[in-house]
Amino acid sequence: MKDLIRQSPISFEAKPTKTSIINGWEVVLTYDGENQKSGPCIIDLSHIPKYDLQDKNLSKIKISGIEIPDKAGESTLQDNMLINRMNNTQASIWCLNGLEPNFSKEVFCTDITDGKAMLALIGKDLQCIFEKITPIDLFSSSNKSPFLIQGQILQVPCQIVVIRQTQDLSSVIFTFTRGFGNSMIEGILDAGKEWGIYPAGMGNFLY
Amino acid sequence: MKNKTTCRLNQLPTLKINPNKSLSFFYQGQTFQGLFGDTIATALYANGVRIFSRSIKYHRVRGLYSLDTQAGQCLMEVDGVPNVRAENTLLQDGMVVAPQNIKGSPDWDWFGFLGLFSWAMPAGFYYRNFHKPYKLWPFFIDQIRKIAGIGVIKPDFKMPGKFDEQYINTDVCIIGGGPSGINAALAAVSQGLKVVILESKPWLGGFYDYRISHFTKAQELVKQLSQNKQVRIFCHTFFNGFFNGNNITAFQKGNKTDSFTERYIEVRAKSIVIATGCQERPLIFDNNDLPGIMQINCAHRLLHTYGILPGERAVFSVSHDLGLESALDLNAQGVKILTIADSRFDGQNPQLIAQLEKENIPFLRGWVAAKAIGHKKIRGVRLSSLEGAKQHELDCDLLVASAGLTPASALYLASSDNLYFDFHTGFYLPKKFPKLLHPAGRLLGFNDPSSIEASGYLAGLKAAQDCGVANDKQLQEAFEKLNTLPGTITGSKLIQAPLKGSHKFVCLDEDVTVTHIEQGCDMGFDTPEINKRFTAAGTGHTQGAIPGHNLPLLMAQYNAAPIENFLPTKVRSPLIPTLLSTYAGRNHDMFKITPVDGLLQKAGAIFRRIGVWKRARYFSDDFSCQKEIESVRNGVGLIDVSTLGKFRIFGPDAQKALDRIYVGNMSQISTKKAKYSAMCNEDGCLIDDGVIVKCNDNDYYFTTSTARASATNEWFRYHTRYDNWDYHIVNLTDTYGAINIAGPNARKVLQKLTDADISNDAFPYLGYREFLLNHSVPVRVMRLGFVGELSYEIHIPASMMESVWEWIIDAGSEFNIQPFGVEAQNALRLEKGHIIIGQESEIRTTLHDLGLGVLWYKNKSDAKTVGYFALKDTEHQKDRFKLCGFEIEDLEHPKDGSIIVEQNEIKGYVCTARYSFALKKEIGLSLVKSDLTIHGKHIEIFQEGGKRIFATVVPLPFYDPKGLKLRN
Repeated sequence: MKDLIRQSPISFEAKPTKTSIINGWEVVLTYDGENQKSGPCIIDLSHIPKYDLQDKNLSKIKISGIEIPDKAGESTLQDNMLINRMNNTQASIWCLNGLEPNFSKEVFCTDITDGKAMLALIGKDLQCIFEKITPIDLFSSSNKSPFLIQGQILQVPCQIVVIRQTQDLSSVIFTFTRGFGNSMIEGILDAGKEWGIYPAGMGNFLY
Repeated sequence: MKNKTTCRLNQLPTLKINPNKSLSFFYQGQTFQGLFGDTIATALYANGVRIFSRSIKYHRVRGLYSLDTQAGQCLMEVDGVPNVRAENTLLQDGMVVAPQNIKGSPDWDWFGFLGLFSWAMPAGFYYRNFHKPYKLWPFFIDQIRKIAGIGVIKPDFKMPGKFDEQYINTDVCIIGGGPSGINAALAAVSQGLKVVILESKPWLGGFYDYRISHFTKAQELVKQLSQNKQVRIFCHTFFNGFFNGNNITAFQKGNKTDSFTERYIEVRAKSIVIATGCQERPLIFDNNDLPGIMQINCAHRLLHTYGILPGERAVFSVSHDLGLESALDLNAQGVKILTIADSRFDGQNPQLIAQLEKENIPFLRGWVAAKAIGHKKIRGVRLSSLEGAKQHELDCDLLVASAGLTPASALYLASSDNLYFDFHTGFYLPKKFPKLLHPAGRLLGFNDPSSIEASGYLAGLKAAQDCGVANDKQLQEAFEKLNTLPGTITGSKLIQAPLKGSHKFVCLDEDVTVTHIEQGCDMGFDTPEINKRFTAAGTGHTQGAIPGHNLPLLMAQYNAAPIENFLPTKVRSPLIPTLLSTYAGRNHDMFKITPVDGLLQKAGAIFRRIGVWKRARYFSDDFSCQKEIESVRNGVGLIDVSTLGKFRIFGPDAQKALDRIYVGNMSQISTKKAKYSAMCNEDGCLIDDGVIVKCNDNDYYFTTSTARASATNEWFRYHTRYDNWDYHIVNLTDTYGAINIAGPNARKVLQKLTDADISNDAFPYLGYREFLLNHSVPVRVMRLGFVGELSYEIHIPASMMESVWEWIIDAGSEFNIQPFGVEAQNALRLEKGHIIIGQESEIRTTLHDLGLGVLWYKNKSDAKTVGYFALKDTEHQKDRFKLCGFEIEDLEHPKDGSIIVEQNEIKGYVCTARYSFALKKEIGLSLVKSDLTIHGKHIEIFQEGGKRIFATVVPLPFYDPKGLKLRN
């Protein structure tokens, strides 16, 4: 029997040149020719551990010593962990370094890593690409990054976190239900074609 | 094939064409040459084409009148696409252009005679003439539509091109990229704001851009603006809707270098500046629709933007200095200006008058064009003094005519109800502009360039203040500066020439004349809104553009009533029509695939869309699925059921919530058992079914049908919204994939992958277990029997599904395991008499109708079930549609959905009918009136063409009635 390999819901046509096994997932670190491209890049982060945390007393809970943000829409990025407050009773936790955290038993966390595809878009001109795939204003100057917006991209409900927004470099991570993975990729690559978007490996992931 | 070429003026600084880059296109079987930068209309005009189309009702000849698509003169078929606006569609190499609304040729139209009978077609004639007798009306509808339709499209026409959409959020949106719009943008960006400019022309500059005296200034402004990164400029972009929340809709036409053919644009702005300028109010006179008659800026732009002389011998009938300027420019390039008739007695710019004198151009004050002479194009014009006492005729091939200016007001006509007539400017303006909407420039009546620009700058600062940045002092300074500059000018009140005529067109789109408007008034349609609906004036695709401001003025004049009682009619989005493809946007199909989609493809699956999912329906071209079905009945099969809804519900009140939603008793669930239950709506009608398992105290896992998964979370929340219960739900539908192994050998296959004891005693029917597959993959396994065989529904972390699927295939190879699809599953469960919600139920079907009343636990203390009262009421209700099984007495099976009749009365319908390979007969499930459910009863199934198929009602299930197979 074949060995167990965990499969990402995302696949690019580009040829991987360097891969690594992380938590059983085969993760692409670099793709062929990605260094020669200058547009914004799209990175598959689906292997990153993701958790759904629900509790009526969220403000009393700490995750690995990190407090959960007070208000819906606020995010905290600390110790490679991104904690996003979704509503009064719910938060999402993304472990950006790929390592699975140890939660105390009292915390009602549900591992949803397998259920959510995760993508990062990094580079210039992100606003122009997102304008073609979502009506949401992700780059409003009134929001202080990182922040969470829950809304639709290509009509698919997403959790979107803007990590960084500067004139020259923006970085956005978002998750959505796994089944839409390939449809989403096709839609984003098509929308971003005029801006030179290209798939990149995990090695390009900055946050 | 005739090859025409065109001669252009190519030394003008204002040109937007490239005289060195020619483009070929086809028109009426001939090859023509245009230039890069031409629109279709200008290229045709340069090639001598003067008749562009025929009018909708009378099939009168129509030519180039405006370059801003303010009249439907130039709707043409381009590359098979009808109703393309030739005036603003850029020419592309190889385009095939055809005239439309023509029976014959543009010059010779078989329906051209209709114009001779215009006297027989008064306002509303088809309402009045063709409804008597009423039964003939459908016949006349057909005939009228054949004659009067605009453009033809084939039902199988596939729209070429790539369509896109863009949603822009900005601080300030400026509609109009002329001098006032650009100044508004400069003011807003000076405050650090993000600005979006929408401009309908392919370039910025507005009415500066084609005027020699202002061209340089336009270039300076554009350069100044382009240097600012905070400004985003969308040219060739047509604003076409204004909605709540400062939501602007528009569409942008792409050119060859763009990645799109047309792009739908939606802008949300904190504040809006409307700087759309003015359009020309058409002068109404007899035969004012003849080719060779055009607006001032049309003639001016043909010359300066496209290098085309619009005619050789021109007469001008104008009411604004722009007309005088245009005449002088045409004269300078060699057009013989025979006379300028100016309806104004005074108020002209003295410098322009002096220049006219210098050029010996005859100039008549208080005169106007009264009648155009000609048949298929203008040959001459009769001029008249304003009171009509004096007249004289001139031969000409060009008549430039305009009654003055009127604001390009579509935005505020669409957004404001409080218009008034400003007697000074002659403009209809809002008494108060909507909040966060600031007007600027010519539409307020400014004429002097410095005032236009200053008013733009002021509007930009006002918009900035809406965004919370510009201060009062800055605003005050801009306001004071504007006040020192020339103010608004007096506008012309002239509407129509003094002489009578039967072809004085008010609405060129719909062939509506002054006579029609007057007839409408005489019949009591005496306000613009109802007169418009009766006469059709302004109901064409340009809406109010041409008749917009003339209609109320004309009605006031005819009724000798105060102008303020007559207001322009409302216009509605889309203000400028465009392609449905543009509204559809990017044609990207979003659908879900399961984690083993790739493996299913390799196995030869034939997929079908089921809701949002793409699912494997068949695994061969045999759509009866015999091989798939028999492998399950006789050996073992596996099916991907990952699309099932899967949820975790936890918290102290989780059980209460489950009790509320499900009809069963949730307190009785033990940790190793799976409980089948159902959900009803408030009417007691079945909406979903599924399995609930208890994982831990206050921690449950449950499944729903594929279709219901996305609504489940909200359904729970909605029905517990007043209870303040402490529970939480997580949708795990995509987190877990699911595989169902089914068939007599299912246990043997599964056992090869696990050390867990899965014998019948250790893991009985309706049991639930959690164990490892291949020592590595944690799975949740339910022993269920949807297809009527021993089967295991295995829920697997989605990322591990591919590996597990391959392991099962490997393990099952000695039993000849086969994948089966949704259709095989459908036939298998039919044999077992298991229902699929939505297939064996509809909106009226209750739990009891389906024989599932046994699932209902009536004695819940804390939480009554959703639908409890309705279930109670309908439990013993008679004459309901009930589920029953039938066997076909003939060899053929009826189509799903066929109606069941008894003595020509509809008694029910077939839900599912298939051939049973296990039973060797046609079987089916139906919903029928309760009196037909008696076993042995013959039922009659109606088929297409009146044919009947006969069947006998039989008990359910058809297959394995004692359930031995799934329990062993």
